Amino acid sequence: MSVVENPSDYSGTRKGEDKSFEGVWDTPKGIRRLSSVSHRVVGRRFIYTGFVFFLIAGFLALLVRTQLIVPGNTFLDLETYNQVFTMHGTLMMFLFAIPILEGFAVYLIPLMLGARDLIFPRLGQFGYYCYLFGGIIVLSSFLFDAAPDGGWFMYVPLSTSAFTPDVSADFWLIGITFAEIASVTAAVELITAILCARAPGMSLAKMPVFAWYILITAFMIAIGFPPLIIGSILLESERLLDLPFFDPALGGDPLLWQHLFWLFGHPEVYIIFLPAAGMVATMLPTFVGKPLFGYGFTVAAVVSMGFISFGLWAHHMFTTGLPILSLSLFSAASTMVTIPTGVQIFCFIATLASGRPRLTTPMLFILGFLAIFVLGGLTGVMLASVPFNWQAHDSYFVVAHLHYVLIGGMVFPLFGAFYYWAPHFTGRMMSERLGRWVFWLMFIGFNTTFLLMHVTGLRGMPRRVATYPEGLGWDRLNMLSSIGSYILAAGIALFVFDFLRHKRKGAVAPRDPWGAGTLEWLYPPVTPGFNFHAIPPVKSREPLWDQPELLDNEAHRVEGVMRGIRDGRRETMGCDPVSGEPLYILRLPHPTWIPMLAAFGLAVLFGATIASFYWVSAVGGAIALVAFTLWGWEPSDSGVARDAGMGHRLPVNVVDRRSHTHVGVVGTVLVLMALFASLVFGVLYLWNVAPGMAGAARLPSVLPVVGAALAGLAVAGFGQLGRHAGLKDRFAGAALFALLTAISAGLALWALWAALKPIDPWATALGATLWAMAAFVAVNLFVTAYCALFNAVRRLSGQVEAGQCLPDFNLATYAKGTGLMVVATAAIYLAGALQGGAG
Amino acid sequence: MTNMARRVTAIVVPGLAWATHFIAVYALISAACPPRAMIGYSHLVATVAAVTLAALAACLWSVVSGWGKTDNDLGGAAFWSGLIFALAIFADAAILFFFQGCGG
Amino acid sequence: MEAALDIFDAQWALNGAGVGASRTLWLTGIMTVAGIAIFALVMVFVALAWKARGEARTWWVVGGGIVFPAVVLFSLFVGSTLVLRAIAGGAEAAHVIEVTGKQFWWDVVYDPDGRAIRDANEIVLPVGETVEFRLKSADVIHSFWVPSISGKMDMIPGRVNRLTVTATEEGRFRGQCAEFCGLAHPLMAFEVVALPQDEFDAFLDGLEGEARDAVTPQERRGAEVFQTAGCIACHRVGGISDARIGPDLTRVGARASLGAGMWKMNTGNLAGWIADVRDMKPGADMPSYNHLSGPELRALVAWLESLE
Repeated sequence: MSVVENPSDYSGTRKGEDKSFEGVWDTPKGIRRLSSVSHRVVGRRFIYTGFVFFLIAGFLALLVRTQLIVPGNTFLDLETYNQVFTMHGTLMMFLFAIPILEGFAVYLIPLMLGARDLIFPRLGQFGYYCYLFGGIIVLSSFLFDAAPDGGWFMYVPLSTSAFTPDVSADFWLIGITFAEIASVTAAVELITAILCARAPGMSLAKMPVFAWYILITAFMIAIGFPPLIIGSILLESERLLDLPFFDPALGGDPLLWQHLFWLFGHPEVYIIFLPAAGMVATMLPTFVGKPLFGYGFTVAAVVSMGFISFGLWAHHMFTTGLPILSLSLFSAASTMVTIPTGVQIFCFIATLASGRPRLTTPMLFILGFLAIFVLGGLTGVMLASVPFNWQAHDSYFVVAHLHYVLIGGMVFPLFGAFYYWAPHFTGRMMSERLGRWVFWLMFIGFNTTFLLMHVTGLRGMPRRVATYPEGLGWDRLNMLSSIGSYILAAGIALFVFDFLRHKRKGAVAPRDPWGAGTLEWLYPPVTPGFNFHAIPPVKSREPLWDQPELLDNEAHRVEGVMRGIRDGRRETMGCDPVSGEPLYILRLPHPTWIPMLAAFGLAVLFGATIASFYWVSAVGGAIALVAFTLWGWEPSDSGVARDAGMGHRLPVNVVDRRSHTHVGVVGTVLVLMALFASLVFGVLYLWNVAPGMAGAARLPSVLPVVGAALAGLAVAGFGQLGRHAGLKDRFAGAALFALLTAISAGLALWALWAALKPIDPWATALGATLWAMAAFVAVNLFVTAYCALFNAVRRLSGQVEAGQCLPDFNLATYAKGTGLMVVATAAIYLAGALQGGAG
Repeated sequence: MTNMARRVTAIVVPGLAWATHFIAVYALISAACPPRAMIGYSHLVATVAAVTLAALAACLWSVVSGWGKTDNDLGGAAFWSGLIFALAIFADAAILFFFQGCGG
Repeated sequence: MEAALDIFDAQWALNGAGVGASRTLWLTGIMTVAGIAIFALVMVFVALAWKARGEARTWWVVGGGIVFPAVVLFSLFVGSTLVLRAIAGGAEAAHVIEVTGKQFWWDVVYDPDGRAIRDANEIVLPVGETVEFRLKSADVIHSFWVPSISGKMDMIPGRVNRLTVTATEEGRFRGQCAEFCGLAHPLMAFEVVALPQDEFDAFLDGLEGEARDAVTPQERRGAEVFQTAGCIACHRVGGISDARIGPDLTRVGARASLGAGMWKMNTGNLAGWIADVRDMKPGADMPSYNHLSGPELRALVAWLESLE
């Protein structure tokens, strides 16, 4: 690979744009602001949109509590109540909790790590619009009087077309899956941003602990969301196409949905908790004045929670009649997750002890978090006990527990975070006096509402009941809970008031107003469009405390790498994922409408599918495809080197395993593998629970299966050869191998289709799942072929210069992932065919 | 591999060991306990024992590699990660002490 | 709306009126006390830490975060598993009762492999005898829960779940569907009556066989309406009709409640139910019979009440 030194005519240069640093980073004005890709703009949008969903979902909760305030109440009818509690859960879990935390991560991570933006800014914009459009689709169901009413868990068969014939379930399945795209794209984006774009010298051991929390959370999203996405796609195709995935009469199983749902649903709880705990771990040291106690402990605890939280899903299924031995396994794993949680809590307590804590509003919320979350954790341990769970499951005890964990573990830290980081959003401080009122109203209201529910549950009141008869011992408890919920709501209303008030009247925030140690406070908090004029080398986890040169100078005079800009482009520093040493100059895209167009195309596709206007869906799909193609068709930046200051002379967008685009591809392949694994789980599960049906299914043909495996190997092999040729700057060779990759993908597609021809997907659930697996692999083969042809066309049309082989490099990794899926699919088919042959 | 890369590996390996162990135990129970039992209970116990020893060995490696570095550092993280996952692996396998069969 | 079973603690998980419930009660008590103690302890640590103003020590985290929870959790796990074994450990069942959950009521068959005696929405148990419930569903997922006697078990289409139960105290208890099952989920309850062994046997004998003959002219008129108005298309009444779509009405007059454990069985409620079932229970499959004349309705109600 050759690197060109300052070529006079280089495709990555923006000619004729002689802008200043500020000009290049400026956020577009007016309506064009919507085209902004800056993490500051996108992150704030996630936060504000998420908060709006929080208010809507909170209002729905008040409707629920008002209905339950007296027995036999007729404030809401049964149907409305079911819609209200379904939407409360759905909005809170999918459209508030995860997006708002991702919003904070998107906003804070680059600032804390010393990057000028997230490194896939367009993906951030795309994710936001997917989230917004998906949320609007879900909410719009109210307008069509078709709000989902099957519970946020959408259990089958209640949500199948037999029992929910209207489109309410389609609104849920399609809208939520669409919005989940935002979570998954944000996960890939955050993983890559944390690993690839840190300040010089910020090794993993010097990374602020918040980044560890977000890194692990992002990995959990990448692996945890796919089971639900697959489950939703299977359920939607059962509804639209009548495929029998969950139909017991044809070898399906309603419990398969529950497994897929909770494989997502339990990690989800930790996905919500970890970023919030990360906020606590960031705010707490500021108010204690000492670094977080036990950095190593905390990293170990976060990593182990990330793993173990995937082994708990079946504790939502203790009453479904699983074997006692399975129950005990999940019970054991559920109790063990307490240990890393306990480690974390005690690290927080030890941090409190190591300095002189200041009782500010964020600190109050941290103390509230400690009290509420510890209690919720203890009831969680109770629920991990199988016999107790058989009593408490689906009763108000669980309602109490989950609100203790989620409100205590997430909402309280979040409100603390609002008070803490508000200067970043408005340049002003929120009121400490009103903040105390907000805290105490919320704390008292919360405990009044939910503490009593433990008792209500043990008194036998089940969840999700729109009404209850009087005289069973639930009347007074419910009334007190409802009154508590109004107090909690008053606290939140006061917060909204304070937020609106402080935007005009709040005290102007000075630089680093809380005396924090992390890098996001380096600049005065009236936010410019850019993050850092120069990116300072980092020698400590609390650089603002330990590196006096940072706060002693005016922010824009602080010494660092990459002062100024080159070629009129937005740039930040790419680093080695482990050591944090500067590796390359990372070119970033400028404001663009294309990701929004792609999200809009998908919104048309999904919205029209709900309305059954399938030709409109096709138009939407075409718009999205065109947008994605335009997105990819831009001049490559690699192949040159630039001076980065402080003695670093670095290549631009290096072609390397550690390149941000390659790490992004690896993250994407991880998500795809998790999707594929969910389907493999479905196949093995159905094969195991309905052996009779497995025999009844006709078997794949052997010869095409072997052919598919060979074609899969060819996809991977040609991809790899293309990468090799690209690295050697052999233009014709790289184009040829790209073409061969595409052809092999086509052959693999054909072979898979031929192998499955004898199987009728409508006859058995297993057959349908085998087809679903093939369909998923087919989509990946299609994308591989599309990208390979794309690369070939770019080379043949002279768009590629020497040293610019990142597309070939990345395609090879994706092709290897796809090839692996094809081979694994073929192996499963072959096992089925051989077993059938032997029996 | 640099020193720090080795420490990061030592943090993650026990997690992977736990995940492999958990999937193995879940799959073995699912194979042994439904009406159509594909493997016998004694096979279940023997295989779980073997997998558990292997997983605990992986944790031990992390504990050893992080030994003496239990301060605020990634070495400490490797040590504690090994310890926490070893406890979790032990608990997941310990269920077999309580039952002589699939139970229920 | 007043509960059909207006006993204050009829649905209380802390009654301990069955083997499952009372063993779990013991576990609940220990865990609650331990939980409160640990919570208080942690809060004391927080308060002490707030005042400490000094050096934190590693052993705090090791002790509080690893050693202490490991010991507590392991003891809890052992205790919980022993209770689990005691509850679920395959005691030989003296009776089998098959309960099928339907939107939104319960179809009950005593001794399904033998005498196969059908009833609905009320379950009678012999005190001190082990009963195996075979739990099925005809449509969506329901969950069978009688907190006073035992923990719950889901009813899942395509599966037969087994729940072994031993009532230890006589009495009348309330059960309710615990898994959200659609529109009228909150209106899907049932009553459980625990009787001494001999009364249980007498109850089963009484349940078997054909319905009581209509005696008074009004009752005879009611039986006629039952057949001409279309009720026989769905409801079984031993000796008259054999349909299985709706609840078995052979002994409907003997039940204490109406509409799956929701309303007291009396003339007014029964007449209101027949005349406008979908007002009382939205989502029920039964149509409203508001076209029946007043005398017809009164006769039908009188006859149904006589079926004891």
